[in-house]
Formats: sequence, structure tokens, C-alpha cells
Amino acid sequence: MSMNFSEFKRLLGADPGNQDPAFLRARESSDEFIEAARASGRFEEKLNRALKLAVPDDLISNLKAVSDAPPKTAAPWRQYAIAASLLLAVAAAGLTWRMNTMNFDSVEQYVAYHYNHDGEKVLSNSLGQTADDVDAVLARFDVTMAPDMSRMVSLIKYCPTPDGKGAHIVLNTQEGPVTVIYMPKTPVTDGEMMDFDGVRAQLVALKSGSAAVIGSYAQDVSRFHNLVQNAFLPVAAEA
Amino acid sequence: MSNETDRQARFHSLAEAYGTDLYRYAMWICGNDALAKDLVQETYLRAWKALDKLNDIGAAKSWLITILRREYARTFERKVPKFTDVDAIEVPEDTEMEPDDRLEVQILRSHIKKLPMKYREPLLLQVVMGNSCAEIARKLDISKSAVMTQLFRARKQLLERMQKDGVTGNVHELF
Repeated sequence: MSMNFSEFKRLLGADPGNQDPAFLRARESSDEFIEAARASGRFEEKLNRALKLAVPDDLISNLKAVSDAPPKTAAPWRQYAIAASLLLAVAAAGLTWRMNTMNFDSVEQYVAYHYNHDGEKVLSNSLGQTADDVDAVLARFDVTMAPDMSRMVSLIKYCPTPDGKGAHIVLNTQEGPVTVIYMPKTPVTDGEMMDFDGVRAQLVALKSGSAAVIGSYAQDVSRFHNLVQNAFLPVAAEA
Repeated sequence: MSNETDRQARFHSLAEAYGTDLYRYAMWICGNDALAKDLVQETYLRAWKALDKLNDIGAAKSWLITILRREYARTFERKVPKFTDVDAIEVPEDTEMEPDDRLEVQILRSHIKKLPMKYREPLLLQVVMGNSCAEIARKLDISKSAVMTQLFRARKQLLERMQKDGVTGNVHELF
């Protein structure tokens, strides 16, 4: 029994790539069916183009980098190339780390590894940008950003931290771009300075979690300590 | 090749094969670039941790979609972000298209954004992720006939809305 036109159009609208023999036979059965199949083809082409959104250039490399994090078998951090150049200005002060997928021995090692991974690239991507999704990104952590810092944000994105998700932020300051890595669940020793790979970082303890401020030697990252320390404000729980 | 190198190569092949489509799928369901990137990143992070459990590489795509959908649901369990408004979806320009085509695609995109999720998601799973109706039915835990109805209605709604905008030519008469 042959397929009627109404049934054919219903199948065409639900599954235009249907390979059922009865459906394929119906497609060629008359001018009416043939024209409907052609019209469907034209629409599917448009639909495909509409759904094909542009993808960030660094998407795949960032996904692959998921497997580049230090292996679960804890090795001396000196084995990592990035850590080899890490020079602590102040010794780590007895911090205890909850290690998850990113197995870092210290927050200093994490900050250096993270910045080495994409810090420069994120800085260059932020040039000339204005971030309009600061609160949207930070909503995940139940915080918002104080206006005096949020108006300086040129880029914000999620990033991994030693204790789960955090945010990678670039501030557009008068001294040039400065990176802030927000670590909502990671405790640090406030004010600790560290130098690595030609940049300087300062750890900032927050009411909840911490941040690392990273900039060039010329920028004196400690000038941003208070700004960053007061920037992450808890969002009141909704009723 | 060592086990770890082999494992990493398998993972990289999954990133290359499905990363792009998963990002597009995530963009169309959550409507925000930062969240979409985060969803895909989290999906691959979980996939990397559980890669040894993936015995059938042919099931990888379905496995990744399932992880992403769970992660998306988890995000919305915590809080529905304000930026889920469909108008917040940013659609990058495609410079390779002719101006008329670009306009038509832009209008179509605006209507896709407005489709109810029960119609939009099956359409994404079919067109973006290349799933069959049976696969979509399993993923969404509904019957195959319900999937087919939703897909038909999704296309019908899009065509009707395009018709109102006068940009579909003779295609709108299809359904």
C-alpha cells in the first residue's frame, strides 16, 4: 500500500533523512511528492546553516588540554617544566589541599601552571574587549562583583582551580591588563608574592576562597590587593 | 605506545570528533557562550576521568551528550541564571554567506531561539548531533512517536514564523 501525501509530509517534517524503503519510494512517486522533497531539502539546508554557529578557535585545543593536567600519580612538582621556573618569594605556609582532577601540590604551582597554559593568550584575546557577562559567570559561585572592579573587566571565563570551578578574569587597568584568577573554594595565605616566567603574582585571601593577581614586574600587582579583596560580594540567597 | 599515551590519543580524537558539535548543541540549549564553553569543558573533564569505562568507541557521541545534558541539568538545579533569556544568545556573523542568505539564516536563528525547549532539543539532537529518532527517544526518555511529533512541530513552527517574515519562498507551504 502506497503512502498518502499527508503521511509523507509528516514523515518529511519529522525525519527528512529517513531511509525507510517505503518513504524513499514515496519520494519519487509523483511530481507532488518530488517537489515536497525538494522544498524540504531547501529548508534543511537553511536549517543546517542556521544551527551551525561559529565555534571559538581555541575550543578543541582547550578540550584536549583537559588531558594535559598533571597525572594522578603525584610526582615531584619539579618534574613539570612549568614548575621548574617557579620561584616562591614567600614559602607556602602549611596549606592543605583537597586535590581533585588537577593534582597540584600547592596553589603556587597551580597558578603558575594555569598562567603558563593560557594566561598570555587570554590577555591577548581580551584586548579591546568589554565583558558584559561578569555577573552571569559569577552567578555560578553565588557572588557578584563590586562595580569599581567590574567596570575594569575586559574578559571573564570559567577555568579549573585546585578545588573545582573558578573564573579567569582580565582587568583593563591604567597600568595595562592584569589577570585575576578567582578560586572560590581555595584558601591561601593572604598577600603571598610569587614570581614565575617573567611575571609576578600576589595571592589574595577573600571572605570565601581566594584570588591570584598576576601582572608584569612593572605593574606592582600589590596595588590591586585591596580592590580584589573587596570585589567578590556574596549574593543574598533567594527566598 | 604506552597506555597513557594511547588513552590521551583516544581522548584527543573524541575532542576533535565531537567538540565542535557539542559546543553548538550547548550554545543552543543554554544561550550563553561562557556557559556553553564551560559545559563542554566540564563534559570532557568528566569524560577524561571516566574514559576507561568507555568500551565501545561507537557509543562515544551518545555518552558525551548524556554527560553534557546531566551537567546542564546540574547547573540549573543550583540556580537558573538570568542570562538564559533566549535573546541573550549571541550569533556570530558568518562572513562566507551572501547578504540575502545571511539575513534569512539570521531570521531563522531568531526563531530557533524562540522554539520551546521540548521542540528545540530534539531538533538539535537530530540536526546538530546527527541522532536518529530512536536515539533521541532514548536520550529524552520519551517514545519515538513523541519525538517525531515534536520534530514535525518544530519544523512547522519555524516555517510558519518564517512565512510571517516573508522569507521562505515556496517552502512554507511544505507542511
